[in-house]
Amino acid sequence: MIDFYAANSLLINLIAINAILALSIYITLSAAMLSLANAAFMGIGAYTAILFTQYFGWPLIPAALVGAGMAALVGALLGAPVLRLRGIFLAIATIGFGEILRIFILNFQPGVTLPFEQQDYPNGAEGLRLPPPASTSGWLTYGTLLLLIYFFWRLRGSRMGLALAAIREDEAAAESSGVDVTRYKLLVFIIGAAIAGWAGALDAHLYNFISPADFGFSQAVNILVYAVVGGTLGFPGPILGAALITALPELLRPLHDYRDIFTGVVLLLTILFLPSGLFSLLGNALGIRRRWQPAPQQAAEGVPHVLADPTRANNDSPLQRLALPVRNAHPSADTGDTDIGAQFIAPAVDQPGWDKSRPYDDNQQVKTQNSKLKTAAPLLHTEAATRRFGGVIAVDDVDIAILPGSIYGLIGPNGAGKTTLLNLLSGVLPLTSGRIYLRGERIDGLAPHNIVRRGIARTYQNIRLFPSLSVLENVMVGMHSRTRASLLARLVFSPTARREEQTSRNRAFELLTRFGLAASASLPATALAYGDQRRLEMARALATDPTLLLLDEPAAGLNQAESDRLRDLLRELTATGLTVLLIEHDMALVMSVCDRIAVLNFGRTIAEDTPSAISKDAAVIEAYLGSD
Amino acid sequence: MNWQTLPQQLANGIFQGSIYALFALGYTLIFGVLDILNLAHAAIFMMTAVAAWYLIAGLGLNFVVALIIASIVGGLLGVLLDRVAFWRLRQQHAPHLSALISSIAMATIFEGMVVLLPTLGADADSRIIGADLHHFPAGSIPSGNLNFGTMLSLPPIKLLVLVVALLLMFGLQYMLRRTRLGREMRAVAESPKASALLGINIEAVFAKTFFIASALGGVAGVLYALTYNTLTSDMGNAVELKGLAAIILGGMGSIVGSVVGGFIIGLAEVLSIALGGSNWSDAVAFIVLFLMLLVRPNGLFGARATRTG
Repeated sequence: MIDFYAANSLLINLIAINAILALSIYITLSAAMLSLANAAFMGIGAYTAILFTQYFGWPLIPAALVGAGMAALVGALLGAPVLRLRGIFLAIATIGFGEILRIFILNFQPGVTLPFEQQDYPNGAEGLRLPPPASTSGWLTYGTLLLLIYFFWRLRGSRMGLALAAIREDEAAAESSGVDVTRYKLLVFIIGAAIAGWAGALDAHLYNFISPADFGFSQAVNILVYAVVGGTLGFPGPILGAALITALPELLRPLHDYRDIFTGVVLLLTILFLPSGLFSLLGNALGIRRRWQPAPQQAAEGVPHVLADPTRANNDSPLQRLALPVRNAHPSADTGDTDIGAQFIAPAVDQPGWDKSRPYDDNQQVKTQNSKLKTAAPLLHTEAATRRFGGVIAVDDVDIAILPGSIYGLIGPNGAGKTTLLNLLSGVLPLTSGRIYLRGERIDGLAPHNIVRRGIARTYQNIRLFPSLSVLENVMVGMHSRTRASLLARLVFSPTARREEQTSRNRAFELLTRFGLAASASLPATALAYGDQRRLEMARALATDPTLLLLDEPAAGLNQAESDRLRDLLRELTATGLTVLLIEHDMALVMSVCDRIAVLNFGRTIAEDTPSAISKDAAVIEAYLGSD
Repeated sequence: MNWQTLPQQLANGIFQGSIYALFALGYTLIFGVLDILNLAHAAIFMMTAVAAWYLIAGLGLNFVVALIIASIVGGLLGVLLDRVAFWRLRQQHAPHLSALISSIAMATIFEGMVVLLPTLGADADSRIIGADLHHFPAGSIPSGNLNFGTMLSLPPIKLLVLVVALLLMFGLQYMLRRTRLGREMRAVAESPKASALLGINIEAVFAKTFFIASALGGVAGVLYALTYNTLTSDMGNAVELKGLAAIILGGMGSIVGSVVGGFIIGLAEVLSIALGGSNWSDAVAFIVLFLMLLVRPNGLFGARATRTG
């Protein structure tokens, strides 16, 4: 064993370093960012650490820390402007950065001379020769790899890990579920830069020679190849990929001569036939479950807790305040579905103040509530909200005021600007002019996740879930802005963090149970039927614990029975204090639930009144039916 | 800076730029029509030059004939590239980044293969092309200089480069605007789905796009090799990144933009050498690229919205 290591120590070291590099790109890929700057960060780490060990005579570990810190700093400076770019534009910008850095190292002449062999630093294309490596540097590499494995193992399933997965799946939906997308992307970019910088420092001190060519475009591609071939759905993938791509050409002599072709063919076959990478193959064979899917026993543990013993649930949970009665799973008459059929929540008979037998239209409770609301200050109001797209004014000088606890309808012909207004309210689009207030405080100009934090949640007209996350995880992402456990707390197994995780898991199950989705908790979101997906999106929005819920055509594509249940649900939600803005084309629904309705046409409010007044309004009738 | 050499420097910049522009045309065409950033374009640039080298050094063909035959070889390599690397990804509706990675894989394979090809003639001291520098046989490229006054002196091959590049740029623009294929390509660029529903054979359009784009890139490769009389397996790398800078500068997918971008990069490079920063001239293209991405990611002529994903 020891003999084997002695004979192959350089290769094993190289595998470990490449595995670390693969993890440095994996973390950015896990937030759907393809950055090819990691070779450059590696170079920054290497050259910085060499300056400290060779010129200042520091030991390797503090010097490598400075190298990693320098890479992280440059990463922060680069990331702040560059991460606005998406997809291939980010890839191109990072390629450009790598080239600039390589040319910089080639030409930089600070006039520093290293004592070893009196070399200029950084000595341009000739590169630097270093004294023979210390025997401990190999073990430092293995130690680093082990620490990183621990880090990634704890990251998975953590609050931050879930947020990254959400960003990877759908950035906009992650943002409007309360995840600070910009911050996480920058954070991940900096972590990747630091890991690569550290790896560069170790790499430089493992060999006797480095040059700028070691950190160029081809090295950037190598790092990408390790991660992609191994697979990016879990951290073991990149490690496996690095080991395979590094070791095979060394161990199989015939491959050595065709090394580039081998690398290219393996990469090509992987991307064409096994896009999830080699590890997914191994994972399938061993029965390891996909990364973001909860293990079956977790799901099995979670459900009974909530269902069997409701007192276990946190009493001051925001969802308790909603006081949604749990509907007993009984077959729905019209569809014949059993428990997981398309059922919106129906009220339980025994809820105080609620008589299920009474028709909704003359529900006294709603009426009295309404009269109280008239005097209250609006929860949300806009002043001359305007949004232009080039020459088109999509939202034109709109003033609306939504009273707390009410359902406010927003109707109008297609293209009237309803969804644009909703995008303005949720911060997805900036206003061209005008103001938006929530409880009297201006919220226009805030990022969507901050608006979520202040209590406005939304759904999308064409459902935007996180497709490959489980149903439960979709809801848990919604709790992001209401939880705080840091990754650090999770790394040290802090009991507080564990309690918080358990609480949010339980709360997510509660919500799913109320929406009749508990049985599908561990399925990927895409496996749900259309109506279920709509309800899951609402459950995710409610998980953010909103005071105002913006719904964009929630009844679209629902059948009559489902739409009736939606009406019940909306009533219940407002009965517990939630306020709803409802965009909807289903007039029966709008007229029966809304307290007030605004009608938009060509971006302008043409009427704003109670449902009965709206239905008689001449301008509204003209907008809908045309005049002739 | 020496003003006496300015005309010469400008002319050099224009020639350098015309090669970048020709290369960038193919790059941007594939991006415009298929939404793929094809990083194997540089490998085809290089392989076409190698093909021309075989035709000239091996078969003794005239360099103009070799240029034409080689460009067809380049086009066919492009069609092969599309079939192998991208066709399956299209069928699977794979994310855009998959195609980028797939093109990197093909570039690696192409470059790995070329160095193993048998070498020729005077260079036959080694068995394979390898990583060495190769030259065209003496006398196969017109030599000497044409003098224009005292301040400007040009080798005829550079004039040929400029003429061919301009002809191809205008030809491509005419083809896109005025021919049936051009209309089909523009339609597919807007929406492959709608084009297919309207009866356009989109796979055929994709194949033709790859043929034209790769032939253009190939011509750029042959002209580059002829101008500098050098051939290496990694000759595509520098041009690849410069071409990238050119299409970002001009606006991804914009034909006019890529040509203008190519000329700007070429001129900026040559002028930065003239201004005394010869070591840093390579960085100029990337600094331009970088700033452009930050300030205006759609480029100078980018009419299309920045694509995501």
